[in-house]
Amino acid sequence: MQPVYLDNNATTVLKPEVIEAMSQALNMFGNPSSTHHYGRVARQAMDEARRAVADLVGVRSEQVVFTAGGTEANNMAIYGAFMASEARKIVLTATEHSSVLKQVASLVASQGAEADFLKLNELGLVDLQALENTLKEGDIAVVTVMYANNETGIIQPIADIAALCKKYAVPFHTDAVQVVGKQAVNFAELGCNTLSLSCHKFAGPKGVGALIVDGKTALEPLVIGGGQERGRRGGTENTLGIVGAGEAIKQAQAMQKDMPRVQALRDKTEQALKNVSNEIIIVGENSPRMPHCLSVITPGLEGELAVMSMDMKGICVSHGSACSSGKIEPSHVLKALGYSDDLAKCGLRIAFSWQNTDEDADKFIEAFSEIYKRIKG
Amino acid sequence: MAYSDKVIDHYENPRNVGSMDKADTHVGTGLVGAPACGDVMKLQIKVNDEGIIEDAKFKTFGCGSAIASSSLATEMLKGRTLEEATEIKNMDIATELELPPVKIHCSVLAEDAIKAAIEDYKSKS
Amino acid sequence: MQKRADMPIYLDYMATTPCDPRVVDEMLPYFTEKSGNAASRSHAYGWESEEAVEKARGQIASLIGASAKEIVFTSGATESNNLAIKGLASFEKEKGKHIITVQTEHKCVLDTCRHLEDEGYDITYLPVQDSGLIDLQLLKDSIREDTILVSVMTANNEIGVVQPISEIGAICREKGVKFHTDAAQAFGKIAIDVNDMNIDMLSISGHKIYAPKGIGALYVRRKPRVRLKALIHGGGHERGMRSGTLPTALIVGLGKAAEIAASEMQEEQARLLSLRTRMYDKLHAELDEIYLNGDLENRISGNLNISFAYVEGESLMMAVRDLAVSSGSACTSASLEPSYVLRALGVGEELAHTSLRISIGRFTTEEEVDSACSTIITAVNKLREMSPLWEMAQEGIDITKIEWAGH
Repeated sequence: MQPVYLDNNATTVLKPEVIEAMSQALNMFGNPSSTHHYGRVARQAMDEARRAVADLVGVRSEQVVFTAGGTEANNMAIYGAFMASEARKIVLTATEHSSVLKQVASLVASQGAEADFLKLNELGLVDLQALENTLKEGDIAVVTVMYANNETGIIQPIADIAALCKKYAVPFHTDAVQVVGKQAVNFAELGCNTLSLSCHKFAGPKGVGALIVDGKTALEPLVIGGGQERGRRGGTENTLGIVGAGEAIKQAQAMQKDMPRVQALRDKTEQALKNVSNEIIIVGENSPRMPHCLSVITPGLEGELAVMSMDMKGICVSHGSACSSGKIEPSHVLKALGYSDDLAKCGLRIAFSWQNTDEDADKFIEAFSEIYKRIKG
Repeated sequence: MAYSDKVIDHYENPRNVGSMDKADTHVGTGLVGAPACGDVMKLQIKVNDEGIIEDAKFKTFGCGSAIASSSLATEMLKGRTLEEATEIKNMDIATELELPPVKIHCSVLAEDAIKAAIEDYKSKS
Repeated sequence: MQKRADMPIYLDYMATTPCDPRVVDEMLPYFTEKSGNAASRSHAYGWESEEAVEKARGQIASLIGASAKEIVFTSGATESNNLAIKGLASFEKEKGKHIITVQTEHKCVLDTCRHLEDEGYDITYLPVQDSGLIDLQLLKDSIREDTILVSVMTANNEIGVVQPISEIGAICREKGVKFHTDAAQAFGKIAIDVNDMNIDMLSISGHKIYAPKGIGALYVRRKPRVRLKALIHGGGHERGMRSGTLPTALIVGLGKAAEIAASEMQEEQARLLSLRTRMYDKLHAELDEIYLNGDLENRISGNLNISFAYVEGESLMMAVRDLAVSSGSACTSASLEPSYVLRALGVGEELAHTSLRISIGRFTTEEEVDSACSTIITAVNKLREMSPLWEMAQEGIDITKIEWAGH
């Protein structure tokens, strides 16, 4: 029996159309930098995919820089903006993805950067007044705030943050890895300077992401050499993956249309968990949230144990982000939202997708109820 | 590099490839460019007693656009008076061949070759 | 690779290679039913991916005599080179800030070194001899107290010349300097043993050995340990040296490609060498004044890089457009600059402009080689017929003595 996959914030299953597109592209093996026939064919396919990415977020093709994924895109945006700036401070939230936190930590350790963590309000959102106060102080190389959190799905007021950054002429990066492909995103309307996306989060292949740039913000390249991607990112492009990404974007619209159904699965599951016990905390219940995400804290039921027990029942979920799920540590995201270490160890992340059915939700609810009863006696 | 059909035509079927006797007083020879720059054009005109260019030949070491530019130049020269020949401008060649901006220098070189050939002819008479 | 009569003959295996069908077969399941995140350690989908990744790590390691734990996956050799050089430079900057590399390295190594120069590092760019090989004595003499790294590529991407890696490794080990080699063009093509050769770091590219683009690896020695500062930070994947969700399917592809190379390398290289010799001999027999760039003996079997005197490079490319070959390296072939590699060899600018890099590989046939030879011979003859320089040379004029005006 195939396990029920409810870990769609870690990665998603490829859509069959994406696999088909990549299989077709296997014959198209040329190096897109080569000027002969094979190179031109590969470049053309890559250009088409680039246009698809550009259209998806409402930018021009030249603004799309392909990377190896969301992690590299985030690293590139922050490293690039910091190294190109005279200013020393990097402003961020404590709920950022580890790719942001660790790159910032590295710049603090080796380049004399100073990290300034923004205050979050009771909904887990950036306090705009606090942000403005920070911006007024100056000496800021870049502000980085993730669009929607990978654990909780909480959505930050990106356009408002961008507008403030613009007012103080500070570059603003947003990690939109968990949003792009799942709901409409318009780069210009958001008003950020750079934005990262990852294709395997929306039914595309792993190994492909992109950094969207405004073309005005100075960025030092992270991976140097060869002159690819207009000198912004060296290395022969992952053409196969990029073709897959282009196809995934074509499919994204259908997936977005399907979102109300996915949200209904989430809402139903959420209600059922509340019915299991009123001690179960729905994280971000009153915050703007991605419609497919459900983050819960079950006091006394450690996430690690819950995940293992669910796995034995054939259900894939996670606690915290996949990147760190090998370690048993309280979730840094839940802690940043004000939960104690004990509670932050008891988080469970359930993320639905186009692939999930009503039956999947039922199976999850049943399994969770059983485990809960067993643990709580 | 995407070449226009006209460049490809001149490149595939160059007109007037060849050499004439440099020592002949009716022949003017222009040699322009430099191997290190990647283009050398040799363009020769044969002028009759009425001052009309009755034949033109070229040999070119260079890219497809350079070959096409010199090939077209020889076609344009034939039948012109020397005065009319000096009126051939590089943009006439570039426009006719639809040269991309990075290849405009090829047409400049062709214009230079025409001028050099005329000068050489005049210096002999 | 599908062959079609109306398609150019592919002779650009050093730019990239088609995926081997066996690699494709191995990868496909990881696009479909096995598409978990290898970092998801707590559920079945994640485990399956992790297992596949570890298997590939072993396949790659065994091809260079390393252990699986010493392989770090990256998005390709460019990233590997960036990680090795910047990562080590950053980690060892207290020890010293001098790095030695070679003028003929791949662009990404040179660009990375230039970036480090901006950061206050001191870089020595060793010249090469006419053969393309470095002078070992010069290397030895260039190593200083504050030298932290020597980075010399195994096989050059334009001329295929293979550097004396064992000797370089021995020198570096003796002097206590770390040794990195960009083996993108050598991995899977010549025998490499990181222990015998005293290599501390080695860059690997997938798409040069019949695996897909977008995947590569860096070998990082554990004993004595080489420590690097990561370039891409995040979830702590790859022992903290390289974060980012691992592209399982691509990794499986690279592993399979390494496994195939391990079992077929000897036979394949012998076949390619005989095809290359056939081609070189034919061209030599029919055309005067052609020059091989780089040493013939110390060379990857699939590579020829030849300058055809008195014809111009771009028109030559146009004349041989039924062949997919390159002039200079793929990354720079859109520019009109002559190859810096050939210039470093002392090849004159005229000859550097007229070079073709012909690289053959797994799917190249004898018929293709013969057909390519006749295309090249016809093209060169036609262009020489049209070349004023050839005419002058035939008349006995030394064109180097002419005062060219230039423009």
